[in-house]
Amino acid sequence: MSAVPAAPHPASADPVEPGPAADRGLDLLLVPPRARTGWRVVPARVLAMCVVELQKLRHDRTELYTRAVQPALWLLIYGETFTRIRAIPTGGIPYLDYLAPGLIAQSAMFIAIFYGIMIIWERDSGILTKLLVTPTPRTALVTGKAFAAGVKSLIQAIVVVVIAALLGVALTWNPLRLLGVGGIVLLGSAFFSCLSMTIAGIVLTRDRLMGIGQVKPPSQAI
Amino acid sequence: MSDDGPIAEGGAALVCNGLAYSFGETRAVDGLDLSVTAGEVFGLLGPNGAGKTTAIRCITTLLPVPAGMVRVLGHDAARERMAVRRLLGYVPQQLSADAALTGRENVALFARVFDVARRERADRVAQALEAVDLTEAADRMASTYSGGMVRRLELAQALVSAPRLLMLDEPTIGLDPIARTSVWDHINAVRAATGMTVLVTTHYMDEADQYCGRVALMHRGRIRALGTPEALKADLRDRRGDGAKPTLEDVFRDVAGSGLDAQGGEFRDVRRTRRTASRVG
Repeated sequence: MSAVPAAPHPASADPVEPGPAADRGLDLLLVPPRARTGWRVVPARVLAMCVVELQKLRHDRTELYTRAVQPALWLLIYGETFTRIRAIPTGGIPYLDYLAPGLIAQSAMFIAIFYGIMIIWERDSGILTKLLVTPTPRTALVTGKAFAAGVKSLIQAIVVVVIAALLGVALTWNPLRLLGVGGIVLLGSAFFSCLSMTIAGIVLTRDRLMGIGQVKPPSQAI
Repeated sequence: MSDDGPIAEGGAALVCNGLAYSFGETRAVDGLDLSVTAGEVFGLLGPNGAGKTTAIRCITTLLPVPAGMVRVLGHDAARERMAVRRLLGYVPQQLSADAALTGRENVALFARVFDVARRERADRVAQALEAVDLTEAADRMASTYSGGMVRRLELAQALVSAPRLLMLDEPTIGLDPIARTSVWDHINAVRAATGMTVLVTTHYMDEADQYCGRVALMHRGRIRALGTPEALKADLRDRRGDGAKPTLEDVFRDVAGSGLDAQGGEFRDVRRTRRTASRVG
């Protein structure tokens, strides 16, 4: 509990007992926080949404692992097979090296699209409703969600890079280039989640969404 | 927001004048006039489909105000949306806590989106959790909370920004009687400590009778009766003149008449309410 200066008696354990806020150690709940204004609002909201996503990932890494399965299978089975049989023209580079960047893009896109669509679930529950009654401009909410998807994709991209490195894919270790990859993944995911949020905003119900889910971009074409 | 202080003292926390909202042909809110005094617990009652939730959604800026006027502590809900949102604490009818976060993280999110400065964020979040008696459970995942605890957590989320007007849409729906009492005790304790105004909708007449200073009975988009529960009951007793003591439920029945089932809300609302109830309970 925060230190309440000169509180006449300690915070009461009995919640029903009325009394001035300071007595119960609730002095901060009387003072509205000072509002951020101007350009600082959007970055602050984006940060808040990204923090939430990181906290969720920290509590439950299952999604991270299950999403790693598909790229791992691609690399291990398709990658190894096609490297041997050389069925796909890759312009002289090993098929695994050819495949790995595509897998990063694919995972990022999938995560982003599903993340954007999750907004339908949040709309059905009260989570979104409650956020809409906070001093968060609608643009900041969408931007925040988009970058939260980006953060999620970025973490997934790191997983794919690690798997690829373990399989001996010839990766560049130039930090600037890896940073560039990070930037592209972040922005690309932000874009795709905005796209799916737009679709979610148009269809509004889950049932109709299933139809749209069928016409996903042909990701298998990598 | 420099003017919310003086207005909060004894003035009206919320004024609605001729508020109307239609979904297509259906007039959900049809000329709502309402004035909630600062510091009181005001109950908005009515059958399903009476327009309570629509009215609340207009007041909380979730829906536009197409006709009429809504002022929250002097701020126009149609034009000064951000100012109104900063003054409001809102707990929607549906489950709104994020089960994938801990209680503390749930509250911290709302501290962040209300621009609580970093240095006082932890203290403020701790105080909000303390106010609803969740300090011990604060670092558990919200998915492990009981229905009453989830409601209290949602209350803490709304309290962290020090709102002047707390809007609770069916705060005790789907809760067992003990959890209901506990939620109300916390609402009352916080109100006593901070002096905030509370606007609550509920279906439970006994709750309204017990905890609300004044109630408004809404039917078909309009206020049909308004006053303290005692005054409404006394009024009905005088009109009936048979000596029997009517309950608030009798007043409700008297106001709403027999047409209760005529327009009992949308299917979607029913589904949502049931889902809320099943998740909370």
